[in-house]
Amino acid sequence: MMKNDRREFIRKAGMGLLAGMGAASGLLTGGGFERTTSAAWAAVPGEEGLRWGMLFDTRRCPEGCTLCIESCHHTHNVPDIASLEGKIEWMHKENGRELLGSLCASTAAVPALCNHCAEPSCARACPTGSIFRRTDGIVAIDYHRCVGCRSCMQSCPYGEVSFNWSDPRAALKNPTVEYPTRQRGVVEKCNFCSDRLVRGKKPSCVEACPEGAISFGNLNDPSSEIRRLLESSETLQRKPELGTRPSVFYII
Amino acid sequence: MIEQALKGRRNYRIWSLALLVVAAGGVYASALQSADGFVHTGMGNNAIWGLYHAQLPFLASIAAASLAILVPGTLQKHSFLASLAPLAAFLGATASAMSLFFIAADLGMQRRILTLLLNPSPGAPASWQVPLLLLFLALTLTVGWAQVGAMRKGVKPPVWIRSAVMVAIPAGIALPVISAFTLAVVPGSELWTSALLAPRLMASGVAAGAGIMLLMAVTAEQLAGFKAGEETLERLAAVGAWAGLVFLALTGLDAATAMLGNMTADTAALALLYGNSPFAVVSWFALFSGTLSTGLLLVPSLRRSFIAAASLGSLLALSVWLQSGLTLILAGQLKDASAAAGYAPAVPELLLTAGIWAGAVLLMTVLLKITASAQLEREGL
Repeated sequence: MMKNDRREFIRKAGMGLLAGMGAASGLLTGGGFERTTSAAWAAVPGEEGLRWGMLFDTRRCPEGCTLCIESCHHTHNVPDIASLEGKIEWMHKENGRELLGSLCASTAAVPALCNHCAEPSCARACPTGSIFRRTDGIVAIDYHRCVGCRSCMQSCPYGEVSFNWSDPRAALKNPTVEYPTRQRGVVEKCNFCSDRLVRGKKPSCVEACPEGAISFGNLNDPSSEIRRLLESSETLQRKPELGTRPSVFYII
Repeated sequence: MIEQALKGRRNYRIWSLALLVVAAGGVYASALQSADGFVHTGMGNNAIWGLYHAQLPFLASIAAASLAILVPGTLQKHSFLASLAPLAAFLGATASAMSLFFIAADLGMQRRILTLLLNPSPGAPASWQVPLLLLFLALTLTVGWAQVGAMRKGVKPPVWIRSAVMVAIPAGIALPVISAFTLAVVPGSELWTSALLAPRLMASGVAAGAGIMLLMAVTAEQLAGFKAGEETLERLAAVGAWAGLVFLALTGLDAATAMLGNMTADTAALALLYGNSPFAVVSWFALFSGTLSTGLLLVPSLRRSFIAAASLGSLLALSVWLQSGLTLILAGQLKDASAAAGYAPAVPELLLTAGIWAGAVLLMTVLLKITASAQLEREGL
């Protein structure tokens, strides 16, 4: 009798194990695809305070339009350097499939910029704390502390940090006085317009977009427009599998 | 003791002068870079790091490897490695000094170099590099100098050097670990995010360090009358061979895990390293020369021949320099095959790299000369 019980137990345990393995491999569950999109955001509920985020509705982003980029680069004195090896970009447009992976059906160009990650690898790489995450979620750079080691540039999986290989001031055609220029030997990238936010303005790309395709707001505020859009639509992030938790989202 | 650096036979003077000329070329290139920035280098958006940064993991591992000789040589009562302990200390000091120079050469804002000490960010592994290197440099230089001083006077080395060595142990072991961690913070670069990188750097450092020390000891023996002892050199060659085996095994384990697990990102990184990139030839040469020299160093009769051991040790060191330095950084930073053609070092970059190496070899020559003279002076008494 004892022996039978044991045999029965082993049989049931084995079946349970098989069922578990089946479930883990997706045999017994319904969908073959995992939602990696807004779930990446919803996985961290109940965060307090301010976390700025941006959302691009690429359906409203016209092919060939670069008004957001031009406005951004003018507002922040980003030099216009033609060579690929020396190029400096705070914002640019790239093939959507390359940017967002195979979940993006379209290959049309979509805007890209610093993702202001909640887990920024650039900040972990910087030996002097010159690139850091502020309490409002913006990943900022102290141009006066940067030693130019390019560790952040190397560690950004999105390639959104640029280095001033040559003197940027020489390549500035029409500088604005409202934002400082940089010098040779430091890194720079999008600052989510922290300089404009502090004056109560929206980021310059948001203002420049004639189609209203860019939303900007507090990701931690359930009543914000960006949260409403995130909850009502399927969105994508760049390389969510790396665990950097980007604050920039895309509607395809 | 320092006066011994200025005296010497004709060959010593010519050799030192030649090294000084190469070092002066480095100073010139450094001035050029200070004036115009990195425009004189091959670095750019597709090759964020170049020849300068590519030296760092190798040098960190060499610095740590000096402990493999220094610790038994100073802390054990009867160690066959005791005669090599000053050499090991000076090797550690030279490698640390070189690392510091290469870190400085790689900064876009060289005048802010003190920021690395004044504003460290402890959460970032890269913050620890410069303070640890400075500490290790100070400790190894002091220990080596005290040992040579004691040797000259024919007395036992002072007791405090034991404490200094004990402090140097964690600092030295941390160097390759920190070096691996500065690369591990880069998500998506699979050659760098392996947990085996730190042990691999350590093993490769011991292999290359033993190789370099063989070359140093045999050269000092032939030219300056330094005596390390036959058995000591043979055992040093054995240390190199075993460390080389561990290094090759770890490299193989890393690659085998990637391939058996069909980890696509990892195998893609390996394909860039050994397949479709300009570095493939270098990678295969390094692997082949490392295997060959390790294999031959395992043969006892070859270990007993000074010249064979020194040549094989040098080949092993070259192989490690290519694997733990050049290709690790230059191929590791590639995002895809299209970026692979991006980097070719420019002339000023080569001059500055050669200059720092020449300066280090000069420093090592001088330190070796002082050690050999101290030994001879003692015997002459």
